[in-house]
Amino acid sequence: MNTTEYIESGILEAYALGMLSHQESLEVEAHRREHSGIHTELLGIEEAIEVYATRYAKIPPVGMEASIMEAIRAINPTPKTDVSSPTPGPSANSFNWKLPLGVLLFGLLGSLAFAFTNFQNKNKLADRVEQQNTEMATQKSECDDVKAENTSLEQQLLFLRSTDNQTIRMNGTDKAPEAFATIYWNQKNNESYLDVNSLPIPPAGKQYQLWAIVDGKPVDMKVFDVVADNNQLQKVEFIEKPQAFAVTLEDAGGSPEPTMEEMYVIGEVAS
Amino acid sequence: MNNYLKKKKSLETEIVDLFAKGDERAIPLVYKNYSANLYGIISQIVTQEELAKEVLQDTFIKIWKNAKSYDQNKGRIFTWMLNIARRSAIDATRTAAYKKGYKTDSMDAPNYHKEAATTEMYVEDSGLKKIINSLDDKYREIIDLIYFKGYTHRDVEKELDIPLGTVKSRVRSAIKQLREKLKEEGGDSSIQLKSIIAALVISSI
Repeated sequence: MNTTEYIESGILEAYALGMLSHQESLEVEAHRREHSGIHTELLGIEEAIEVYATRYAKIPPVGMEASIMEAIRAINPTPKTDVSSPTPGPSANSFNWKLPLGVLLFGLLGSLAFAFTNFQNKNKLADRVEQQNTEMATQKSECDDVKAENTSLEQQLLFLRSTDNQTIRMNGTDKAPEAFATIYWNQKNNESYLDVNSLPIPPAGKQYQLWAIVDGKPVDMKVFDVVADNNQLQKVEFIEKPQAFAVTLEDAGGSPEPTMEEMYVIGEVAS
Repeated sequence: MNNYLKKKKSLETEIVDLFAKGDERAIPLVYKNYSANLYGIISQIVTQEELAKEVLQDTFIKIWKNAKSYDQNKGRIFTWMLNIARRSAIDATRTAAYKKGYKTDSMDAPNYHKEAATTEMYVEDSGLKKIINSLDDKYREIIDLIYFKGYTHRDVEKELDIPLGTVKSRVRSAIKQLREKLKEEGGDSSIQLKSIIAALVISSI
């Protein structure tokens, strides 16, 4: 391995900053053990990182240390205190301290345990709230999507149920016998919709283009996209007096003239 | 090894020993020596003070919980703690609450914590100044924002109004040029040069 190239690749900085995957880190550690140059470089990088952090050092607000210590003690249920120091020898007073001391200790441990559970519960609750907020946000956005789709489907249904529609089914040519698509043509509203029932997904760089035949000549009705699992009608240009509709596969963006060999479906308008 | 380094080394050893024993006294020691550095890095990522305080506390809890798993062979203890702080800060920016509330705050007042500083103000080392000035303008600008003002790549994207991809490729070229300079110059400026390189990497968050 070329140590210089390895160092210059920047992988050591990323390693020191914990930005590598576990596997990549293991590799760096292996190289570090083998090559002293890499080890030295890593030491330098770590020193440089500290120089950088010192540049941006910012003293935390007052009270942070106390609240951090409190939090740390809360995860250490048995903090090192001097409660267990040697019990005092027999005193002049024959009063038995064991019982009150025991009660006191019991009470102390009890309240510590209470505080600890309380703290844990609070943390758990905060996590739950956070989690549910995220879930709610996701569901709200899903809900909006469903609503929008619903509105669009309703409009399409309204259009389809109108009695003024003429339905033109375009059947597959020899090129794609299984393919078919439908045009809904509504002279009353001057609206047309295309339903891509079944067309193969076009290869990269290609797009389908819709044509109307008027007076025996093709009229461009723009390119359209085919997506998998599509259940939506696409609104297309309204063309007066169509004799037929057809779809060809063209270079992305469309062509001024249809490529006849690339015709996928065609359907005549019943007169 | 000079006195300063010796002192630092013995401080690190002391902390590692306390960690290994699970001795709480490690925490005040870490706090005293490193909290400002950690809080500084956190504040660069999380601009809202209340949240930055939470992240600092969270960082200390994680440091304490994982203290026994720290391995000296893998790096210095400061770097280990810094990475915990960075990850906690990044995690905090990904929560829904941050996205809703805090982030809007910070967008209204971008980089309010980042004082207007220029290369001139910081670079007392004339050797370093010479090196940075010899770089192309667009790289100098990137270094100025990232190293001297503490911007992240995303901050730079907003500040200069250039796509994130461009920011990243400029950062890569800047790093490459700094390495060239490092080879040529070395010497006194090398630790600063290396820390600029580290800053350029770290700021990608």
